Amino acid sequence: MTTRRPAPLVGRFAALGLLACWACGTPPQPRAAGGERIAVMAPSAAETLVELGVADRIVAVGDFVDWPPEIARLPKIGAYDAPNAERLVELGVTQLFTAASQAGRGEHSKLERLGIRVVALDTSTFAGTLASMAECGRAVGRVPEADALLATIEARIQAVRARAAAAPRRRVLVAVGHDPVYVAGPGSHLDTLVTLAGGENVAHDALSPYQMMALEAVLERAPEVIVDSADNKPGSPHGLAAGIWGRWPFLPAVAGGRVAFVDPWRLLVPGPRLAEMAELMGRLVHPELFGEPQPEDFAGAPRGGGEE
Amino acid sequence: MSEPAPATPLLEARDLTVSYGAHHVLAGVDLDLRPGSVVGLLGPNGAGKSTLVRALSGVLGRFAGTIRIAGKDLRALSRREVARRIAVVPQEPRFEFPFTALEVVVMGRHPHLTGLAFESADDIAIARRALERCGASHLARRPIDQLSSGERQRIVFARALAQQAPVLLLDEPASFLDLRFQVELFDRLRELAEEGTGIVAVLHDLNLAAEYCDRIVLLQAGRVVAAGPTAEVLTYRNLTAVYETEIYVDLNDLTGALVVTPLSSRARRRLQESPPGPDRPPAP
Amino acid sequence: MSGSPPAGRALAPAHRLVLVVLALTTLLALAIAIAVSFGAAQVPLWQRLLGGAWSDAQQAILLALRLPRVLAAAALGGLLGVAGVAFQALLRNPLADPYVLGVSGGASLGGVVALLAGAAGLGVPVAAFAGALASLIAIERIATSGGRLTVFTLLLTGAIFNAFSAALIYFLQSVASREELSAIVFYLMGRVPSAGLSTLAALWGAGVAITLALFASARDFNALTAGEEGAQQLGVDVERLKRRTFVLGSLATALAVATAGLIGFVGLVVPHILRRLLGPDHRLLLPAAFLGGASFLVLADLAARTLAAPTELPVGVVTALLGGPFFLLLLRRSGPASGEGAGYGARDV
Repeated sequence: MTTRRPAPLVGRFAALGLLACWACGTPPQPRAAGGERIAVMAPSAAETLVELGVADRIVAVGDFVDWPPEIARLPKIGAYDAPNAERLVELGVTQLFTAASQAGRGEHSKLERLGIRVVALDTSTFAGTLASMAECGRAVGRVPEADALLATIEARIQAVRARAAAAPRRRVLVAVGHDPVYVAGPGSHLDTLVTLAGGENVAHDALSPYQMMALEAVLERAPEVIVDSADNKPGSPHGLAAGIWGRWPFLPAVAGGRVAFVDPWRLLVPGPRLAEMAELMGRLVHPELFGEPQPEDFAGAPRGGGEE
Repeated sequence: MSEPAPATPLLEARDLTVSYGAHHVLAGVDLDLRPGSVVGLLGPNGAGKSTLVRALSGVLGRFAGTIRIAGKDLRALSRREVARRIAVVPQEPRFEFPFTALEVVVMGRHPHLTGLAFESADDIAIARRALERCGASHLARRPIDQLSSGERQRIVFARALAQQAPVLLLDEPASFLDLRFQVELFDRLRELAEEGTGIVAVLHDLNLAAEYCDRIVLLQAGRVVAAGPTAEVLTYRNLTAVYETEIYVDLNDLTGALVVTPLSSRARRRLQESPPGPDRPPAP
Repeated sequence: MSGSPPAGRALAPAHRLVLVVLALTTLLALAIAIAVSFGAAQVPLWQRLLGGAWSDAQQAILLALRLPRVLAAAALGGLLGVAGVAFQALLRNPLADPYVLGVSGGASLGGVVALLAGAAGLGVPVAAFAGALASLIAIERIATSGGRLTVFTLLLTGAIFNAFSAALIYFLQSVASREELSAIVFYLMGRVPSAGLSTLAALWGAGVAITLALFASARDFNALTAGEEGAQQLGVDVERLKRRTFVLGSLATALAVATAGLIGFVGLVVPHILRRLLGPDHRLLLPAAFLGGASFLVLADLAARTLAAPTELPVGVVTALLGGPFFLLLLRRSGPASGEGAGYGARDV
């Protein structure tokens, strides 16, 4: 938990002091919305909360939350199912926003008993992401803002869906890993994005949202568009280029120049940016309808903010 | 106490000392083996008999003194050369893999095979003859792990025969054998001796030693107490001292063989009535 | 002479070896032919050979993906099978498998470190092989005292190396990111790669060379049935044999793990099955283990590629699921007698 505080020891004492004051001052049970202190584990929930204007309430984030920049520098308190309970209490956290999971349930009830309200969200599916945004609004008392946000997002998504409705389905492969090839299958938000952008996921028969797929099968299914979001290392290629897929020049996507290397940040974190993602997917799958993708469509987060 | 040898001994040990740390298992042991000789190695448990056999066959890593095989220093010979000259019949034969009896006996030809050679028909014939000589031909195709200990002992003896080495070392080769097979085995040994093989056998049974060995080496606590022709070594004085119990030595009028009898307490009481002479107590 | 009861086995003369090699080579050829015909994609191989047409995709699938992978599986299976026989002879223990002596720990650790360092392509197998060599040398040094290689110490040292490597790997897993983690897990689970030409040449070359080198000691392995001292008394240079076997077996294992991760069961089950079918003569076992192990892994990899298409099963899972029950069946059929002979154990004398 390295931060920019001048002397970590002083900081700890300060936090403890704050905790002491807060413990003396406020009763543990009912929480007034204004005094909430939020910790958010899931990156998509983090983006939503900032969109809803409550960034100032966030005091801690999960290890993988790097965006938006306002909260990227906050203390990190653990990954996924295992937030550090001690740190949560120390920081006076009152609300924890995290991804719903079976494994985390035990952890969550323990935190509830410590006086921390756990908001568990489904952030893996498309529909779940939209519902999560509404739930975040309710949890922080920003319901009108959440409704407005959702209305905008849904309108833009609907526009994409309508524009692509009549177009011929193009076979699309969304790759999230190389060697072996990992693909996005049914149940992932990427699968939904592909469909509403006028595409057909070649991994439609995968058994889980993210699964390994034999290269043979990929070749046989001859994808016409390849969206490759596998690498986020510095120096990874971005943009329309054959890249490693150039080894198979007979693939329609390679022959037609429709292999896109997109930074994972652009597509892999479903949240308030779902509308942008849908529009980007439209440009990748049906450029003749949505326009050619631009250089900024492939790049990572602006100002060097992180990826997932 | 060896007499001057007319020819190079088949096997010779001079001042052989084997120690583990400060403990001497063998100390200053001398041994001579001439062709046609059957030497019995006798002594109580822990006297170092098995260690002596292992040293002579070249499997002990460290020893002091000299061992010579047909005049050549053991240390200068390769394992294969040693195995061509010395065959060993172990006390408790072990078989890690379930080979058949014939396959085991054929392994006796190992020192004579080189490179990737499979055994020739000659080798197999030699192995079969060895099995026959041991009366174990009927066991040829049986897996070795299904045989009784007595049968296994005969198989390893056959293996040693198949090795066709001029020296045969045996470590208690008859411990599991029926009397009939004991007699057969030792008769074989005498035949081999007559053919020129030199034999050293560790024995527990003093009567067998008396009957079949022409020379005895008597060990106690790693040292040679007495060595020489059987009749000279197997005396009341030597045996009683080494085995630490009274042992009576007599001559069997019928067979002309020495008879060795450890005395029970009852027998000792009987003899007290007629006190014994230095070597041969008079017949009661 | 004779009058022998029908039970038991005749001698293994040279022509029995030729028979066994021919039979198993035919089996391997068949296995390869079948394996190349099936996969996650449908490629009408035999139609093509009979004069049909291929699409570019089908040609790429067959020649660039499937055939190299099947050939790699064969070589890997052969290496593991032969290493299994070598280690079971060296340790005189039927429970020995190629991974028990610690070289696989070093190999997988090297591979994992390379993965985390971002190495791709050839970097990982090279690092894994380097790790294996380092372990091999270290273990051999530790287990040798007074010029003698003690089998018992070898076993213990190997076990410790494996445990240590596993602990380090767990640690690395705990600090790895999510993507790195799945790469590591997949690597460790064992996967036959679609190997390039140079890798295939190396694997096959090493496999054949190591099998032949071990075959040269086959009679010596047989003699080990009399124990170490017994074998020495039959003329075997046991120290040299032990060292040689350890090095050759470890090299084979290192190559296999470096290329494909930890594929289990092949080195344990294939020697056993063959020993029950052919007997304990290593002159038959060694070449048979190479050919038999090759066929086994080719078929196991075929199942891994096809059972859950379009995704793949880890081939180590398939080898266990295939090998286990088959071996149990064989055990029940031929009964407990042969195979558990007197004195199995790692006793060191």
